[in-house]
Amino acid sequence: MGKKLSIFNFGTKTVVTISIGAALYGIIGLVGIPIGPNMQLRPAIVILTIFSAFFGPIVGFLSGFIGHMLTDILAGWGVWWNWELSSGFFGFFVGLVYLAKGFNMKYGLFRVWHIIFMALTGILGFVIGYCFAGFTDVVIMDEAPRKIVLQTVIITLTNSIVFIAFALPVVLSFLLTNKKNSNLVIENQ
Amino acid sequence: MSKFGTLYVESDSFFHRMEPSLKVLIFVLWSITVFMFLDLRVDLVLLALGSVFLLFSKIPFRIIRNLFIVVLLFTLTNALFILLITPEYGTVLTGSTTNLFYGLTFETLFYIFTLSLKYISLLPVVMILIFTTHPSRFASSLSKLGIPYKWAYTFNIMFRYIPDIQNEFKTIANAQAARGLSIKKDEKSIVKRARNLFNLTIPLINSALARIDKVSNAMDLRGFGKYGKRTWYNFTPMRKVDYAVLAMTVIIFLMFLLFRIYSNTRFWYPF
Repeated sequence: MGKKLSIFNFGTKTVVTISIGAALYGIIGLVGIPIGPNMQLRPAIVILTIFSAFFGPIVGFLSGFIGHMLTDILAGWGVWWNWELSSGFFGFFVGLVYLAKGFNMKYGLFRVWHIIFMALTGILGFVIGYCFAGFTDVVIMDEAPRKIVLQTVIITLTNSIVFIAFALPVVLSFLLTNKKNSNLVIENQ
Repeated sequence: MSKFGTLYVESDSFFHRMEPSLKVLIFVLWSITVFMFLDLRVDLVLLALGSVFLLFSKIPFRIIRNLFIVVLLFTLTNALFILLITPEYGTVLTGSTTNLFYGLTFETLFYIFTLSLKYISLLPVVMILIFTTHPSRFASSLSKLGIPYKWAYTFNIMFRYIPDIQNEFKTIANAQAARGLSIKKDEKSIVKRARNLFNLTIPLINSALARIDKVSNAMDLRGFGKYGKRTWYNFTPMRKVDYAVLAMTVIIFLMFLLFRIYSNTRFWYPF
């Protein structure tokens, strides 16, 4: 039980998943609760986490990248591909748990280490994504390095806190809910 | 926002008629040009060129003004942050110090001015790409750039479902508010408001998962992805004007590239 699609399968369902994931991430990305200057609690992170856990790293990457692009376009400040890629990186890393054996969102199969793994890869994704965005900002936009370091640290911290405090509990609740209706066994195989 | 869920403005101009893949190419080359320099002269040239483009594009002035205000505010806060955190960065770049007052140097001010113009000079092409490109034409022209049609189609579906998802979000938010779980100002406690907002994501994801199944089944039934190639309803062939614009773009880009190679320093500081 619990067969998962290969992440390299690019069928109709993958196409639709990426587009709807990106649309959802893009629209919810516009909503946020300001908690300080230039800082927001963004529920969009929850959306991307769930989509990555459900469908794997490739879908996570593309949904995050295209979705963040959509957010920026709809919010009206143009296209900033390096910060948009950082969302893609987060989606990719947090989706790595999809490849782990015995983890399945659809049927609610998981072990405790899956959740810990997901927490670590998620934070790693933020670190790599925002370091990449900050680095490219210094190299191609000639931003002042010390300012970018500060920005990167703050944004990584706030997003990691949202990820641990809000996204992971939602993943757990999805897993526990789906587990309840998956106690059927395939007999003749 | 228009019914397409994007900011596309219906009109008829030189840029509206232009092949969307060409606009993407111009956007990419323009961005690369901006990234190559930290040079006031280049930024001013690009800004002047971009203003001419905007005049031709027939985008309503109100929209251009609003966008400029947003980006201006962004660059101003950015400049303020740089001044607060690294007031000596201009000296690091140029190697000279001209004190104005209280540790504020002319070099840093010049650097911040150049940087702000660099951000603003990216704006005109982005605006043209966003406001004059019909989303469906955009998706169909992506396949012309060599992107497989299944990938290009993700943009089509995304633009198609933006309004639906927006409505869904409103419906769910209203339903939750009716139960006393509001995300608006009428919930006084900010902690509760944040929790309500994050709780909205669960029904949204559930409905999105159902929608994915529905849409992908419908597309499978119609044979999406059976063949390696497909035709597009919104397909337009390249016209002579488009080829001329393409040639112009490449020539101008090569000129900037040559200029970059022959100017030996990245940061232009004449004093």
